[in-house]
Amino acid sequence: MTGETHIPLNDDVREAAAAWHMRMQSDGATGEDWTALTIWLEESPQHRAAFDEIDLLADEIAINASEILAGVTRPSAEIVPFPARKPPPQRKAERPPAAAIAAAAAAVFVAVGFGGWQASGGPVQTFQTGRGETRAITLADGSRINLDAASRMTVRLGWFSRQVTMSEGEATFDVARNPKKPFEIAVGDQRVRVIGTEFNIRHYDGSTDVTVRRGIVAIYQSSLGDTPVARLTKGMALNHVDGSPASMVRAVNPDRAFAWTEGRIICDSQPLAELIPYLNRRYGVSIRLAPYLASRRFSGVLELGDEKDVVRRLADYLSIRLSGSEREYSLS
Amino acid sequence: MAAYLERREELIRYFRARLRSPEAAQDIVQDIYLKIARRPAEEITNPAAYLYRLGSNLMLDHIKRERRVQRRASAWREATVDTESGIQFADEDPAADRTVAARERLRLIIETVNEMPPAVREAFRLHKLEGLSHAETAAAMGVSRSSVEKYIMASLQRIVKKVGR
Repeated sequence: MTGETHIPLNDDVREAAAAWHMRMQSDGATGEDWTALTIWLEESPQHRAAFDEIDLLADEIAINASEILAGVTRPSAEIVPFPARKPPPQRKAERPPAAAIAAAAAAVFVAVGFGGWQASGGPVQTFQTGRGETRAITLADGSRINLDAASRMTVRLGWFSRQVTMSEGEATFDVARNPKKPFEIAVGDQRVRVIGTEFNIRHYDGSTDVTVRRGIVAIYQSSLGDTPVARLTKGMALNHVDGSPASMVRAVNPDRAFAWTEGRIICDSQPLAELIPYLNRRYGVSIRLAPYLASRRFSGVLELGDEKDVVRRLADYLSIRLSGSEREYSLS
Repeated sequence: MAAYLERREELIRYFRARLRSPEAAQDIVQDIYLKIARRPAEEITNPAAYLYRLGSNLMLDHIKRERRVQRRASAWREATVDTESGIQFADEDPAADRTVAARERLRLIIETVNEMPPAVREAFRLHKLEGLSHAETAAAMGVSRSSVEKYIMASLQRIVKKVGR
């Protein structure tokens, strides 16, 4: 890419380079396509220079995407120039492929923009679980929510959007696609906007974890406006502490975050100070923990069967003393 | 790894054309090998595309690093000696100029995007800024994939003409 930077380029060469760039960006670019591009590049210095130009420009755009996005004015919902897409006929038996789900939900950005959040009616439903109680909910739109113990949320299925407000708690969401109604969850000081479908949210003590198992989820920070702070795809998790300007995204095995819905939890060096409050909520019991044990960590799979067994197994594993019975235990 | 071994020669050939240097191409392809050797085995849907993209990212990083070094050197020469007066400005910050130029380019890009026809702008926004694939962008806009490709090509050409290189 050096030594040929001052070759003059005409529109034809630039157009051809842009076409090559497009082709290589498409999902179905094959090894043969790359070989064909190689041959084209070898043909002339103009080709190489023009391809460098478009490649570096695309990179510059990618690096500065959020800044450019902030400066780009968006056509308002009323003047969107595209033909409205008719929702495809509902096929009950088969699930649409992930890409189609993502794409359909992305349509929401175009059609509704961000006005949808405010402009909606519909009754507010409150779902709540007590300690020792979990609940599976199917909403009127077909979305499914698993609510873990001691959790609370309100749901409003409005005309233009589906809104959930989640306070303390944990839940998994399997959101029915509806390009006309975005699904948005307010949790802590963030908003989670669904572009695809299946994810888990955990919100305790001002800390939020979002883990995606299928599809795409966009996260917005109230204080940072309408540009998503993160776009999570399958196998990504975001952690955010309320009030903090930053969020942390990492790659995870998403099944771990969903394990609680199948009656087990998977711990990876989890401090007892977090694990015990979880068990207290989940079983509606009271397990007291000697202060010196708060920082002890547990790694492994905990089958959430009978409460006594769980507590005993944990005590055995960590070689600590268990006393008490019938919903009142202490570990020391 | 099988895909790498199978495409190794083709990869070298591609990066030789891009970099105009057989040695640099060898280096990049070696770096690709190191990257994939370290990476846990996992299913990749389009291994050939993955290898080229990995190499392209390595190449771009390398080029950007080199340009920074070059720019710093030349900016330094320009900043330290004003050729007409011969006065030295040793404490001038060469990086400041660079930042101003980059910001100006960014401003021009944003301006160009805002001047695009709505459909072109929307395709550009969804694909290049929001990170949707061509197929997802097409579905989101309710148009065909070939239309999306046409829009995105048009958007890139507008920007290339405005900011050039």
